[in-house]
Amino acid sequence: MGRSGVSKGLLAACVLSALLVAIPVLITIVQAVQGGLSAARSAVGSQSTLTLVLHSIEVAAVATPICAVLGVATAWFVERTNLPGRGVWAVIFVAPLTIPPFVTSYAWAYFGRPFQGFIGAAGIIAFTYYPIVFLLVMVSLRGLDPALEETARSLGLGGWKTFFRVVLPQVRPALYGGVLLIVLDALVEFDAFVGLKFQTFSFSVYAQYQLGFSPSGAAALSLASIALCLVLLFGEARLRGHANYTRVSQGAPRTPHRYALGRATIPVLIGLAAVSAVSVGIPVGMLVRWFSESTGAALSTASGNLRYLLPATITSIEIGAAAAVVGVLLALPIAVAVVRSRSGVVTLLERVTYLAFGLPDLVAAIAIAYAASHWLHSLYGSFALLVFAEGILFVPFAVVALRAALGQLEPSLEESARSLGSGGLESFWRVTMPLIRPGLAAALVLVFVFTLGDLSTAQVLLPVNLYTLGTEFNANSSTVAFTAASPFAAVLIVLALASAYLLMTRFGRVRTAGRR
Amino acid sequence: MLTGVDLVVPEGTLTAILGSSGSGKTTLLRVVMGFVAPDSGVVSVGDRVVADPGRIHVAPDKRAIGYVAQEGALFPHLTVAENVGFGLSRSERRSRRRVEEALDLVGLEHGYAERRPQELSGGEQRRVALARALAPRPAAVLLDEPFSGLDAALRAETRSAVLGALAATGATAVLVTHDQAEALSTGREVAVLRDGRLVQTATPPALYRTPVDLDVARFVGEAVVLPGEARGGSVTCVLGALAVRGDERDGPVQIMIRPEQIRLRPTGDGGVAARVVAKSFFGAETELHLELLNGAATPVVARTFDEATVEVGDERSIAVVGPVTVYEP
Repeated sequence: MGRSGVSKGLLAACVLSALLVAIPVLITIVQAVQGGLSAARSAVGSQSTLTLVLHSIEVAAVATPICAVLGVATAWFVERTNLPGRGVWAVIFVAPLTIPPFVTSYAWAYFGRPFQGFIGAAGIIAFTYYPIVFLLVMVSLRGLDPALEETARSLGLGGWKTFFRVVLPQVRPALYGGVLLIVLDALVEFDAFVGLKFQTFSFSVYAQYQLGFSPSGAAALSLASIALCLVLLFGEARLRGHANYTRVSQGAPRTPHRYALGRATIPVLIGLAAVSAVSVGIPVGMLVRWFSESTGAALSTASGNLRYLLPATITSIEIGAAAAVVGVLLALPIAVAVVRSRSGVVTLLERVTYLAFGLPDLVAAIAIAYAASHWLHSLYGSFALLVFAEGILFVPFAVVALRAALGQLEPSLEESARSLGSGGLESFWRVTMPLIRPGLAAALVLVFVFTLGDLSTAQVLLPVNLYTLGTEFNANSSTVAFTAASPFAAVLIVLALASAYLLMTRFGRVRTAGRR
Repeated sequence: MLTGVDLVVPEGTLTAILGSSGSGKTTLLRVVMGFVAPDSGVVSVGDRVVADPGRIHVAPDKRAIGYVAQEGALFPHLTVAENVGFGLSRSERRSRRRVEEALDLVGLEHGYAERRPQELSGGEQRRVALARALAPRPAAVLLDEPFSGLDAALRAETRSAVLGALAATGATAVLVTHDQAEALSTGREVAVLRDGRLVQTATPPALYRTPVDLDVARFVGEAVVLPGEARGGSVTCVLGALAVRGDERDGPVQIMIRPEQIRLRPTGDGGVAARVVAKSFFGAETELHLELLNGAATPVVARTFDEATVEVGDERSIAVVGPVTVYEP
């Protein structure tokens, strides 16, 4: 699209989006500065903080390569081989991302001590977040021109060499994009570790907040995370260089060749089943176990909890749906601008949306609560404030999902609409929107399901009279037995699997044939 | 990227812009459409200035210039009728009359109205794209490589449908192409774009016969180039004394002859003796590569419609028909 450029109106919308998303970051910086140097030094300088930061970096360093390998491999098997049951596998590969991390966390913890430490932490991150790479690489593989691989083969390259020298370089932008999200997430993850005895960077922030009750200390710590985030963002931008998401080439789209697995079919199926057993089997299996392990006391607590189930479900869905709309609305102008132009300003605005994501959820939530209590008191403790906080948190994911769809559209479509007398907004509404509807749905589902699986933000900002599936699960999991928490987990997992299905069938897709 | 582009497209005519890839033709089109703003220079449609840097930039949707993108760019989520009606007002869309008129213009039956773009052939897609562009009665239409990627038969059919529709509406049109035959056969005038500059604008015969320089000569068709000595309206070279078109200069020159000006005769029938060294068959015509027997190293190319009468190794006498064009050496 490149030269079609970004209009002033679109740029203004992007700036507004970026500013709204950056609110927690800006407030955190203000808090840190207000706290002064001594508070910062005591928070940042302590030996335990350093240890915890190292823990986070170690988890990211171990989990991210696993995510990259798992994500690329699963995407390749689904998209480029004749793997039996590809459609079902695809949903199974996406599912871990949609299952709330805190449920996964308690499930892993159930395996005992070894899994409550570093192995558990790295394992949860690796097996929960590899679907990000899977989704992005899958879309990228789908758009590859099969002629390139055929040419490589004709030049005498074998299957593996073709993969490493032709296929992998082309999916690299998608891979880097996915890896960036995973690293940022791993560094500030908190929810996924709630069931473990392993403490990371976010825990030190939590401790500052909870024990010391020092928001400025927490803010000072978060500055370190923002700084790290900046390094990663620019590193990724440099790595990616001028590469862009692959766009479908002109002319009749050809279906890429699918490799016949042949005798490798059984070993591959076993390998993929093993991955699924860890990523989906553990949380879902544990849920079944929690149900079956019902002692009398636990059962009575569970049945006592049942009356909270429906209201919690409704509240969760309401918050998730509203946050999805907020997140996608904020992401839309940025995604459109990024697809149209790779100018410095646009890239900067896009990167700003990642900054808030690089902040520990808890810090972002506290910053928003702080802002509301100081300047917009009527919003403090309101439903709207929670929705806003959840929405802005997941804007980078919504941008990624929208980009994957927008990148598939030929720019000449919107240009043709302009030539027929439709203004910029009208062209977008009449041509682009209907075409990217599946991608739009994927973006909504992504924010919805992440909101559903978010605990930290809800714990800080949930209005006093409300409770969600997540908060109820968490409250009950720390008391009698998991049986009491399991009805909430069951609803969460059902919603997660339904979301996984929607995501899989819609992510990175555009409408090609319309309604009949 | 574009400099010194001074092009006037007379109302109601079709001008073809001819350029190789990278010559800036797509950029020129996008500047006229308003997808790109020029750094300097003025674009106007009729009496209305639509781009004048620093003062005026009319948005693409306010320019009333129709646009047929490469490959047609039909909206895949809309039917043919919805595509064609896209630029019309709500009431015009509902009445369907204008949509049907536009389909008539491009020679598509009304039965196509409810089809999906995916169900159309490449040629039908281009026709629908043109119908869509013409439906709102634009002041001008731009067509970007409208026949590219179509096979020969479909290309001819689509071409006549498109030209017919443009002529019937009396539309002012600009067609961009890299194909010289397409440019020469469609445009009232042809503008040659090279390295972002308009090097020549002329009627097709004038462009073909008196190209502004040898590069343009070779770009718009096959050319035989020989050195020669001009004097008083004629030029002497290895092919004898030839009449010069227009140019009155004297002294050493480069002579440009079109292959179809070079005719073969039986040996001894006057002219210059030559031997056929290679032959390429193109169907209707055959291209012959000739070597002069008087020892001149210059390769000469001729065309003949009688493929069967000439074989490689044959000797013939060649003569040049009609005036030639000369250039600075």
